Amino acid sequence: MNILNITWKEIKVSFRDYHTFILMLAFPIILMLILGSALSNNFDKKIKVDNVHVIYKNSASQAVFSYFQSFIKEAKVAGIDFTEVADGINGRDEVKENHFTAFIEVTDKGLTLIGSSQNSIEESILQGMLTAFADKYNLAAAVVSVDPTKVSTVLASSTKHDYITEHSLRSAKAPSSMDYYAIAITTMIAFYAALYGMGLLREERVKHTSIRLLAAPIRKSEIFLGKIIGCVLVNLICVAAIVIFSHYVYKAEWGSHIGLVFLILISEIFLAVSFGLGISYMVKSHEAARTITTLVIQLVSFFGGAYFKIDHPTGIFKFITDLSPLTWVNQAITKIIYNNDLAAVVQPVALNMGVSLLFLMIAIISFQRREGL
Amino acid sequence: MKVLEVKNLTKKFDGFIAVDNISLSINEGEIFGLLGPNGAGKSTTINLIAGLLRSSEGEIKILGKNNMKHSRYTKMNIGIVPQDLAIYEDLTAFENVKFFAGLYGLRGTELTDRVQEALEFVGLLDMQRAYPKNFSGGMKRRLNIACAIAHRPKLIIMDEPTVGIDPHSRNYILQSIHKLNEMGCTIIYTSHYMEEVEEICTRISIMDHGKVIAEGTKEQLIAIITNTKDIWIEVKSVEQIDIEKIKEINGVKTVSLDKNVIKINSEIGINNLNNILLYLMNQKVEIGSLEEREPNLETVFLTLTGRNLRD
Amino acid sequence: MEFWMIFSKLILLGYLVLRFIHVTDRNIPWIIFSLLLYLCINILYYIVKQDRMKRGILFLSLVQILASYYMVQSLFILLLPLNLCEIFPFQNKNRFMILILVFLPLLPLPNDLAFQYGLVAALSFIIYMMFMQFTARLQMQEAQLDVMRKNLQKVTRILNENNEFIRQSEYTFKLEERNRLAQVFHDKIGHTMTGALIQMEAAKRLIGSDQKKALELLQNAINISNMGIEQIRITLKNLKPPIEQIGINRMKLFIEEFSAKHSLSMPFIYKGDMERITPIQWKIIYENLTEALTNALKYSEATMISIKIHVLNTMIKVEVKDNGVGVQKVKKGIGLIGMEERTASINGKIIVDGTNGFSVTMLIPIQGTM
Repeated sequence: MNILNITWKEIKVSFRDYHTFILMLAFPIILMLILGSALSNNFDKKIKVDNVHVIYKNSASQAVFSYFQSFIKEAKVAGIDFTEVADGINGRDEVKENHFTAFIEVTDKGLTLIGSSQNSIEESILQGMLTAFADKYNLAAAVVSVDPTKVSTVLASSTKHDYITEHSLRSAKAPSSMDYYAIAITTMIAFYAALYGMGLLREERVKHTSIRLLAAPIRKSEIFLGKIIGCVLVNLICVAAIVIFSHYVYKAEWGSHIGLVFLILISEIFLAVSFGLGISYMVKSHEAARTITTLVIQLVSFFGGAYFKIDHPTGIFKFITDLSPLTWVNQAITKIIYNNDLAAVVQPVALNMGVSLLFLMIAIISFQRREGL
Repeated sequence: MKVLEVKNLTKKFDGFIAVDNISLSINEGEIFGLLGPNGAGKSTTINLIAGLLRSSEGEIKILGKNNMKHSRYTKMNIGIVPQDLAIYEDLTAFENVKFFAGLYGLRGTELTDRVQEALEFVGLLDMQRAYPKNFSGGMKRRLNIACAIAHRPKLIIMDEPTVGIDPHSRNYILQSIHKLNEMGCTIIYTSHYMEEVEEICTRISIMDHGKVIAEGTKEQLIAIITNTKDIWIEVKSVEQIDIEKIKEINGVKTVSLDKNVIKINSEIGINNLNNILLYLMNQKVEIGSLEEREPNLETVFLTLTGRNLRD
Repeated sequence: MEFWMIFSKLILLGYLVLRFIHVTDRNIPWIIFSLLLYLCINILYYIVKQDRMKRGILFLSLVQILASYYMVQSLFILLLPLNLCEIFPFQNKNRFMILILVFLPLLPLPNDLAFQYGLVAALSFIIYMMFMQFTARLQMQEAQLDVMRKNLQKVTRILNENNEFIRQSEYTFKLEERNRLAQVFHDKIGHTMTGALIQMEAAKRLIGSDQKKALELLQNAINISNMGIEQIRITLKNLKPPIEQIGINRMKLFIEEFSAKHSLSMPFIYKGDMERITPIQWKIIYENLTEALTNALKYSEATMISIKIHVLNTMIKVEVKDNGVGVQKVKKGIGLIGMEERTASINGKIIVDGTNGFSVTMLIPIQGTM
């Protein structure tokens, strides 16, 4: 009962403090908007195919080239511009300088595709189209050798426009930049709870209300628990608000297992609060604790991909990113949303709770030993 | 009955001795003053009594029970008004009192009633829905008191409850202390304002450097340093005055004339001012001014320690 | 007691070595390196005395074990539990925490290793608990013994001091008495008796020639003798000199000597009725003053030490104050504690203030008034 009393007070006090709103609500929502729209280019799924400009050089016979021309026509429908290379211009250099997405050399022997590494998705689309084209051409050649009359039917069966679905099973349900940042920023803000955890008991000392709490006939553990639960709830409410806001306003995808997503978020908030609390007990001065907590939050956010997506890290970098709780959490949430991989919930929750207990233990030991709060 | 018994209490912080082997005993119905300069160990003593700190040595009994072994019982019976404001600015006056009273096991309508009773007692009932950030210093102090009394403690500990407030609020608070005392509360009152302590306390301990250096009623404390007071009477003319006659008046110890001022040194506790004035009037002496110089607790402290209560 | 911990670690190490012999592993040099490193770190742990250093080394050891576990040989994890136990200082409250912490690494371990680890962890835990309990008990007993020894010493010292004091004061009083008696007899009774003797001698010579004159002289002698007897009576009655004379004069003398010896300015002020100070109070004032002056000389770098004795209505206040460096936080040394104890024996208090120079103030209640 006393625990509930303290929890309820904690919630009331936190929500009447406008700082809470700024840091925990306004800041992430704005950050989501900025990062989600500004960095959307890094997420290639939504790229318009008409952005693809291709340069080609023809050194094949007319017969072969005519097929290629029909391909060009079809591709134009899909929004891919083809330009024949002008004399004296090296197609490769054009691509290198990023004037064109790719350079295709058409010869009698086949097609050579040289892409720029900067537009990998476009390039793979193109590659898919060309493969399809080449396959069909090969098929036609094979048919000719058996029954030349059937060639036209083979060639008439128009190629599909939607190349992507053919070549990428994954992309039907892959995060857009807003989807990605909705998750990343939400989990980052959840980790900001560490700042609250750090100030949790200091706040009572600063307000001198710790005297009253300690003088009351309640156990120290009740104060401790009540405050932690309150803090977790406050942060959870903020995070929930962000999730709801991002879902309805930014149309971010949160999947159909929202309960599991929240389970992970709760465990993360718990981890953050315990971490902050633990630090505040391990380090004597408040300033030092604050510096350490802020630093850790920033590092964790950075390596957890809150500011930009970290694709397939390797080596030592992978090791570092794996250390960030945000990495576990983000990966698990992504798996749940996009792959319906419900088992993914177990690992991050277990890890978060385990590490939390460690920090909590540190806090509890010092708490019991210390006089006052 | 003894509300509080402190025996050989010592509190050390990292080798620094904040409270040094003090013993106190407070009876029911007393307003007990702890007087001393800042850093004398008053707050530490209070925090030890309230169970906020663990003593290094010694024992504290509240209503006959050890405050560490029976902390629930003793804490239920103590209300503490901390030196600094200990209220939540983001909770209304009502919510503040309710939260703290709730920690003492009060529930439901009883809780609401007690909270309102406490707020009424400090004169903040009209303001119960307001936030303390909009309160004046005095109102905050009163709320600070309300938070400590809603659970009707037997022993109320007040640590400098009048620091930095206007005289009106100060009087209000001093009156409330009297009222609480009349309602049966025993009160421990710390201050470095000698006037307040002199005014309201029935018994006083003077603390310095963690020790109780003297204890007793105001009169007993003054008696430590002297049993006489000075009476200075300025008169228009001195011709008709016979010093020997004044010396004969009961209680008068010495009399001297300094120009037109009669300086009389007289025993404390004997009311002879009337007799002195009667004599002067009979002699048809015109009195210009009269000054009674009785030592106060400040003088006691100064004499005993060589320092002032307030630096 | 550390012996047992070291031994436990050695047994574990031995077990590991035996296991490594059977595990054919190309990693042998690394294994040996890790073993040696573990040995070094843990020996260092027991050599170092400083608590912070110890913690640092322990942390190092934990890191080393984990590193060896990941990079060299998984069996190294078996060394972990004992070191984990040692993280906690001796406090029985932590028992549960240690248990959890020791078994926590069990979770990520593969099955076969987990069994071994569990066994080692459980044994380590029990060994450490025993170790802790015995140590705590031993410490407690030693502390008790210490306190008793100290008490004994204190009591013996006080006894000796008191005996010495009694002996000395007896001697002093005797001496004072003798002096005074000698003075009085010499100054007054001696003269009187001589006067009477001369008169009687004269009367003897005159008794033949002038009887009347002789009678007169004899009467004179009788009168003088009477006076002498009266004087003896008065002298005997006033035999005890005013004690204050001893106290205050002795104090003055002492201060003067001290001042001259150490070339310090030492103003001495006394106010009020010195007669109300009893001999035992004088004794304690005197002793405390000596102590305070010695301290001031040692620490204060003062050029002036003022001494005030003020007899108030119901209290005596003695203040020794120097103009030296002072001290912000006063820590009680043996000297101060001794002063406090002495003063407490006559219900007095000592206030020490180091904020403005250094001052020791004794407040002693006057007997019968409080």
